[in-house]
Amino acid sequence: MKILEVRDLKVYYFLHRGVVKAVDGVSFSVDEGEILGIAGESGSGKSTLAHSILRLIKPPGQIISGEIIFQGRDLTKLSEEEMREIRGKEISMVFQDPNTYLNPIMKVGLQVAEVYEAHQDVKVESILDRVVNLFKKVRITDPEKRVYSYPHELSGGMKQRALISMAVALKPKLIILDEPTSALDVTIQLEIINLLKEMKDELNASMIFISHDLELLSEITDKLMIMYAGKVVEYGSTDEVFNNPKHPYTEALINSIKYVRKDILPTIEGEPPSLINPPPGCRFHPRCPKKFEVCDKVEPSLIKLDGRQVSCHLYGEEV
Amino acid sequence: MKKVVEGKSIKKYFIASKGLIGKTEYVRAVDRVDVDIYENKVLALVGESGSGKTTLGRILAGILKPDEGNILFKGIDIYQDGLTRDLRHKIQVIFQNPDSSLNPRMRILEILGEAIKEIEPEISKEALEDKAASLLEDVNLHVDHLYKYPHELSGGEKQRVAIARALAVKPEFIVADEPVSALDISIRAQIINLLNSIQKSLKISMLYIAHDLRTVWNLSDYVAVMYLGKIVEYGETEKVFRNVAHPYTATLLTSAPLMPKEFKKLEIYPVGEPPSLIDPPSGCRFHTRCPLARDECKSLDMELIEVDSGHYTACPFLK
Repeated sequence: MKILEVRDLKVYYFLHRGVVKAVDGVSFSVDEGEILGIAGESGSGKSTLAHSILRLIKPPGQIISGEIIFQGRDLTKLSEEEMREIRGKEISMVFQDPNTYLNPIMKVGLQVAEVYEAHQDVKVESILDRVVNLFKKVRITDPEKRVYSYPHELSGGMKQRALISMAVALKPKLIILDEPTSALDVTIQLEIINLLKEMKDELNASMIFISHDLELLSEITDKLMIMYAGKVVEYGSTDEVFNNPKHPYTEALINSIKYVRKDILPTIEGEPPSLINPPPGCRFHPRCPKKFEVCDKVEPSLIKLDGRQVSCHLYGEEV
Repeated sequence: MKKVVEGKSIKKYFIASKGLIGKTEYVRAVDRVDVDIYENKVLALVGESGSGKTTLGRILAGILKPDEGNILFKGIDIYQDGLTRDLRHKIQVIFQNPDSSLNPRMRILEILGEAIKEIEPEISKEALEDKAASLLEDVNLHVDHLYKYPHELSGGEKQRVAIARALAVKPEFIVADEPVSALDISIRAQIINLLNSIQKSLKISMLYIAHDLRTVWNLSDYVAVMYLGKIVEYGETEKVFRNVAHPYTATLLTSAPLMPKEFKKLEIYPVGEPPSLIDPPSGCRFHTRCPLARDECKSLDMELIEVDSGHYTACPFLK
């Protein structure tokens, strides 16, 4: 069953220099219990997409059109007050850098307790026990002591665990992770990933995992969506997309993460385009090794092919 | 093989807190480390954040004086004897973040010009422009970029400029400190290929500091693995990857997503969080996180032992 369905979502930023089309007509859905990975380079729109789901886009950014259907309700139509009820309780989010989201002058345990206070009619003091239990669950060592620690007294991994405890405190149905482990070392990363998967299973929740780290996504996600310059270029089961990529961009990305000894690494020439003046036709065409006549003229649409969707003229138009 | 850089028993402690009555606490960033870099070879220095690899890199580059130990560059002690201006130019550093290493108020021409004038103070304006242009060509940038400011360039282009500036003074030894970690995957491979080709064509010796094992596998001839201020394993890259001889290296190889099977001979995962550098564990510093730790690891002072010709490990139990 679908828990979230995003239809033709457009999110633009209105700047003096022009309009940045960060997310430009993106559709996807998340099934119950599923982990969807969204991969892309910086500027591909993946983070904007994640923030839009929780309606966290601030001016000059704006959701222009499209629908975000969560458990039957269109989130784009809700009032700010109704959204507040959903954030944290129904859908929660874990961000990349815990330092930005933890208050440096407030004890960590109290910050987590605030999550309960915001959504339930309880006092902070009476729920510290619950926070200690939560800390135990996310495997923070010495939880009784740690609830009284300040953020700077915790390591990066511990801070991220504290944020995860906040995200799972109210048993949400959907957890959005925006590069949750990019700031961490690889050995810690693995532990955090395992913890997240455990939490997801326990809550029977779904997950959207946003990362530029295709290797990581390939190991933990059920479905994979590749974004380029605000558009979806390929979207389907992780196995299919990763092991048998169809879009030249996906293929090049996967090639660029191979282990090559003392020889030239396969690359994608050039740089990602400006989102104010994206290239005409297919946005990837200036960097594409397989481009041909139509690519700079006609924008390809997503078509179904071998158990995934792909937007590339190589495969013709849908019949 | 000729040694270009020889580091002997390097020690660098930073003061963490100075007690009025209590004793002063130190961060033991580099704790009596020996390291050699051979002519025309790349040594990769690998480790998690806080392992001391950046500190060691800065010491070897001649920009941070160690508390103890000697660093010889082509036989001359950098800190005892001091380097002449000419020799100083032979050592260059490329940093992780080009935004903080390129002056935002200078055009690329001026940035490169400053470096060129270091070795040719009397150069004419025309000759300087020609030289700067050819430097840009060496790093595959268009000559138009000479008249741009750093903010007009992308991250990858800025890193190319930083590399061009390093090349301007005809270096023999380059310390590249995580030069690609801040870049997108598709750009990363381009910069690694560039470093690879200039290293080969100009016969530069290089210290490549990284935590990304894929680029280490591609670029390096030798690897030194650092943990809490100590080198725990050292050897030819092929040997270290294929016949891992220290549990810490094994956990790094195991934790990295998509690591080829052939490098996962010993599949072990670390336990817990990295301890603090202020009060590192006794004996083998990795014992608190090592799944293979025995009682004696808590007290044994681990010295590097040779397991294979030129392949050293600090763990006597893993041969």
